[in-house]
Amino acid sequence: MKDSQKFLSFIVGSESFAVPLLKVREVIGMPEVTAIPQAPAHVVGIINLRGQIITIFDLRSRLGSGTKGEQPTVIICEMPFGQMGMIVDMVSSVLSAESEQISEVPPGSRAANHDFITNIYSQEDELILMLDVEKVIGRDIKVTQATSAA
Amino acid sequence: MEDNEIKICFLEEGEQVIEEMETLLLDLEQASDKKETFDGIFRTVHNVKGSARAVGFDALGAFCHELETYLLVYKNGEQEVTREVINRLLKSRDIIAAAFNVYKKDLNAVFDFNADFGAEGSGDEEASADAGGPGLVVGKKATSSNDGSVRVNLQRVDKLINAVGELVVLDSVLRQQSIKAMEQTILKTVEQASKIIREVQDLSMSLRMVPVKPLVQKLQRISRDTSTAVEKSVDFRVVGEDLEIDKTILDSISDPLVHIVRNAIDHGIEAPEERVVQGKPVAGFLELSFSQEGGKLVIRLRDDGKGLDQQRIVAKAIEKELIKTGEGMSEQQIFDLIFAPGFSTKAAVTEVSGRGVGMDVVRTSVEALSGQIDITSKLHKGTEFTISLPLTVAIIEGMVVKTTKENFIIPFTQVSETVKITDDGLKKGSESGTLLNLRGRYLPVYSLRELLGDKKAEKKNGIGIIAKSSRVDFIVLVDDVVGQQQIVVKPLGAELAGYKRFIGSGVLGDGKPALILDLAQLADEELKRVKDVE
Repeated sequence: MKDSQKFLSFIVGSESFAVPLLKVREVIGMPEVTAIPQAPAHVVGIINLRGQIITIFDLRSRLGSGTKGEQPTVIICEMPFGQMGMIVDMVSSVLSAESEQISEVPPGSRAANHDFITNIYSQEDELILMLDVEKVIGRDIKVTQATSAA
Repeated sequence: MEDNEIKICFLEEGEQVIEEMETLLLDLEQASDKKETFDGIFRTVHNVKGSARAVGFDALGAFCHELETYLLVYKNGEQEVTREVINRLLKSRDIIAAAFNVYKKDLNAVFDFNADFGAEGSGDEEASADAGGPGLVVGKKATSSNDGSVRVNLQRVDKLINAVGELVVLDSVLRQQSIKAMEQTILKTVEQASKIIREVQDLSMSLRMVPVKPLVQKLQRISRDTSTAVEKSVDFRVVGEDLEIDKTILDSISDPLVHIVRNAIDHGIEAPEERVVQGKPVAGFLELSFSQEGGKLVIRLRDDGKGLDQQRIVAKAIEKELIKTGEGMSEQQIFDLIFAPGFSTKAAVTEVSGRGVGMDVVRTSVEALSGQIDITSKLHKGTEFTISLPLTVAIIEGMVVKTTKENFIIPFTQVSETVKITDDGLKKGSESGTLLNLRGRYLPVYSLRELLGDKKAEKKNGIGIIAKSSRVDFIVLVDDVVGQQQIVVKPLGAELAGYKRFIGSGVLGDGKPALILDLAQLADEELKRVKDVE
């Protein structure tokens, strides 16, 4: 039994990204969203997911793609402070990554400037950037300690 | 009979405390911050002691008092906590747990705290096995007693509430579809079904709400016993005991209230002789009130005692090395010192209020509920504690209003009335802002669009909502009032907690979520913005 981790890969703009599958609660189609006035950057609004209110974050605009994919999809992620949804252009697949397929971000590359890109997964010609979801939203959303404990 | 109820209540609540005690004790061996863990243990013992005495388990109370004294040596760091000490403490915990089990079978049982330990064997395990997670007793009304009620796990109630919420949404979709289908028989059945669904929704939501009455009874008993113990006469009154509050909140606020009631009698209210000298009635006045204000649950405890002595608090805090100097501290900052761990204004340890472990617990518990505790106090006049708590999962009656695109919810508790507003009815000036003459009184008018950051000027036609606020009266202009409905308040995620103007969110009839506004907060923010510009 080799050491392998599972990831959910998805597309934003023209690039592929992946998040650890353990962080993903579910994947849903684009729901109806209620906007929040003067919300933090890239926060699209709140949705009603079977009676639970979840904040939705636009990963597309955050990653600078600005695309409005034909079938945007929301990945509901487990965050340390609760659940949040991320809008992506398309969900691709679940991949089992062997440890030798995961490599460091090449220093000096564009990706190395982003602290939210943790690693690179490569298989043949395909290249997938591994995301740290908490760091991606961290720049725009400050979660106060006191309330996250509640 | 009444006493028995309190006792049963105590035994049920105590179970959790005992469990907590065990966890903390087990943590103690590995804990990096031993002091904090130890303080926690001390608090649990203190809690059991206080409540046990209050409900009449005197032997248990005495045992805990002894245990507390034993703990004190280690609490102050005079001796190191060794493995043997922890073993002894765990044994003591087991004795307390065993006593609980004996009392559970017979409320008037005599438990020998010296001998009975060790004799209990398999019976204990059996009893602790069926003590499940947090549960609540579902009764019909405040008046119904134990008969005819069922214990239900709280999580299951929450799941039910969520599922029913979904059902309601689907129901409104179904209704729209059936109207399109134009089939009379289907329409009729759908109508009937939705009526029942609404009823189920109301019922399921009421399951989380429990009356405060049992807590009030417990506090009355504590007040009586405490005043007897310290030989003071107290006139304890309770306002709003019929209020039903969320089970989770009730559970968490129970111990803090016990502490502040006891403190008020022991430290706040003067001895009878002193009261006579002060020209006050011999009996001290103590009022506890429960109310719902502006989407908050507010609990107040007011006494007419000696009030907080700022100089003494500062002196004590310096002595306890909590602060270096009291200079430059505001009244509020000084009062806040009494919540610091290890602070106690009474020089001598009293049997009743104990060793100053109370007030820091009170604040921690209130803050854990994202609530707030405030003190106002006048020397020789009295002290008032105000605890305001969010309603979290509670249900509110809300008004659904429309602006630009989205709908918002305004809790009814914030609205005093609504008026139709036309643009020419308003007085506008660059210095006075927009005002409306309402029955001879000029009130400021804010447009909800502006308050929410929509800078575009628009016509001022619409509905004016006259806000009920403790600070200022003002009118909020909305495009339209869409309707009113009961709303299950759902907290926003921690990522939006910085937005104080939103109390939470709720799901509207069409299944879309909407934000619940705090009008007073919005107006405050607006006034601040205006000031900053100037």
